[in-house]
Amino acid sequence: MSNHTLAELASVRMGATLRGRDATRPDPAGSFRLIQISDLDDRGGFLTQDFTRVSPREAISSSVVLRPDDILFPNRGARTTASLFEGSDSPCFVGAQFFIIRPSSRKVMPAYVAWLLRTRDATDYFDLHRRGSNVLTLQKGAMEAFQVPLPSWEIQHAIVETDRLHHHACDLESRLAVLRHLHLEETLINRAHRP
Amino acid sequence: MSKINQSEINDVAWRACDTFRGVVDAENYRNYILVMLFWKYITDVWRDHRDAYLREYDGDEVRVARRMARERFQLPDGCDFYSIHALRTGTDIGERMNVALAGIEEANKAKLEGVFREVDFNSESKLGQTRDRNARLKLLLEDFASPKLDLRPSIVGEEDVIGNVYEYLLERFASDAGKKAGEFYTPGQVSKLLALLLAPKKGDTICDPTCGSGSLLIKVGRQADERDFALYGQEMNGTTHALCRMNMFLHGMDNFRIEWGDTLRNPRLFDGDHQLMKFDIVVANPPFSLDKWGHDEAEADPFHRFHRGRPPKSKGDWAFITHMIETAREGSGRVGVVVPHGVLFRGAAEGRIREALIKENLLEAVIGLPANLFFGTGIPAAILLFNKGKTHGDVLFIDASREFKDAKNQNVLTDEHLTKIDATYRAFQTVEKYAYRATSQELADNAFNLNIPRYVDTFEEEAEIDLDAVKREITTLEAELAEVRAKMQGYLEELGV
Repeated sequence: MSNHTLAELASVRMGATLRGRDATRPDPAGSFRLIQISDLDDRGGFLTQDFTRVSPREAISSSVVLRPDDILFPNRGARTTASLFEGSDSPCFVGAQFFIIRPSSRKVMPAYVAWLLRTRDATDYFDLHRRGSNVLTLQKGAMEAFQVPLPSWEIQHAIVETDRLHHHACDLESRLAVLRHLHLEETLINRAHRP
Repeated sequence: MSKINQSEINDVAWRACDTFRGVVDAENYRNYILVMLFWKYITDVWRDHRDAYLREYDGDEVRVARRMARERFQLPDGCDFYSIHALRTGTDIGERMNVALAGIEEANKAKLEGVFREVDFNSESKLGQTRDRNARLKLLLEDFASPKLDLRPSIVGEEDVIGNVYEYLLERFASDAGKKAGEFYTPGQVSKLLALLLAPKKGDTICDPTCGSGSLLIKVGRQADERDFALYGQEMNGTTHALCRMNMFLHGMDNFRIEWGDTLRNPRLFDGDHQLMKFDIVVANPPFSLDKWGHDEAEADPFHRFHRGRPPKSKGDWAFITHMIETAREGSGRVGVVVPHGVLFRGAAEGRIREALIKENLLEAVIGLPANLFFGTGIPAAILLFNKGKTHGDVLFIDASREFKDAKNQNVLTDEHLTKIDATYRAFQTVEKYAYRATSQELADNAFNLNIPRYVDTFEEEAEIDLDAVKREITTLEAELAEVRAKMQGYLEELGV
């Protein structure tokens, strides 16, 4: 297994720079959709697919229009998460508060990079490299220098799938806990009412 | 030349504000932008008509001048927008703009006196030191000279485009202004709802005693048949009063009467006998629970408006409502007012006034609105409708608070919601979990408390739990979980961990 920096495996760019608060004002007829930090959960999932439609005042460079398999990484604040963009029916982009990580090597699986960027190791690394007196910001250089262990494609796939199944199992367990409680409580209430 | 569309013109006008953003408070530049729009509009109309007459009279300047003397607004030489635009690089551009506007005001004294009083293009405190100010004014003049902002009637077509762009700017300023916004703007859907509910007829006189920038008044007027209606209003804030008058002109409603002053302390809409004028429709979104509204002066009110009781010192809601009822035409006048919920149930003096009005059989409907509809306040509000020509003793309660579109910063009533509220009001019948027609006896049984949940039962019974279905779901999920765990185990073995 080899180790690489993220820059060796992917390009890292900032999202679009939007000037003025008007830039993100919703416009139902807008031709672009804007993904914002509030659209992401801590596990890197998207809370909605109905991203805000906007009409950018400035031209949006084609390089920051999101492509399937791009990874979105918030570069402001203390939260570490990464989301894999799988595509949308309309062109989407993000603001400069995100890095867009675009894997360029066939050796690396985008979902694997997204997983790696959400791990505890990554959190420790980014916590160490964030700067700023008020708003914590991560520099592009720190992002690019992040070390990516690169096992075989099969192992990457197995890691990503295990992680996905683990989260699915957690969701099932949560729902089961609620249902078991409901079932038990209702059974006991019925018993209490019986003569 | 192709006609421009509404959103394009809105956009250009809004972008003109960029010159001021970050330099001047929005509250200040709002007035500059709206005055610029008005100035550009009257200039373009003048230019358009003059060009048409020059063609019609083969360039005969004397005949053209005679026709132009009958224009809606007079534009003295050198006071038009383009003359000043040509001087935009001058070092005294602010002063020249002031002089031009003063010239327009002077030439149209009857219509425009005081309309530009709040804007001083030469103000160092508002627009910065001379060099910066001149640069900003140059940009501003250039923005408004954009071909996209060509407001000539032959280009923009219907007059509404201009009114709409003004309205658009007002709403955008309001949504950015936070708490202060409520003072000058009622959200469009609330105005529209009041217009639908009050359904003015052809020839009606319509008054808003706290008219702000006039949007509500214009919407209600528009609901009347054609253009046969008369608008009246009063506004306390001098700046907002000026905005309101420009708004009226830009909507093509020249025959209005908007007074400047405090409606409660100093009402200014009188008939020939110096009595308060009576209107067919009185509508308002007065300030919620206004403190220091004039409680002390109310005792000796020369118009005896507060004969049902004096509202409390710190809450002027019932003072405004009382004023509105007193200025509605006897026997037929109708009143629509937006109020905070406290108005429906607060006791003491307010309770006594409410009881008196109900006993006089003036209250017709109480409509609960969703929370977070208004600029600057998230609290839910209600609409009270009074009718001096009521033919029955019942009151309709509508709970419209749960039906709205959830927008990002503010809730929104769609046309569908408005139609439902209006149709329910017209039918005046009980609708399960939405509306209730209460008798006067029921109101008395509730001690004249108008709290909507007392009348409209919206309680949703909890669905009974189907234990078998829950058990089945548990079994299915357990099987799925086992399968997921097995797959995970497979991958873990593959990973050798």
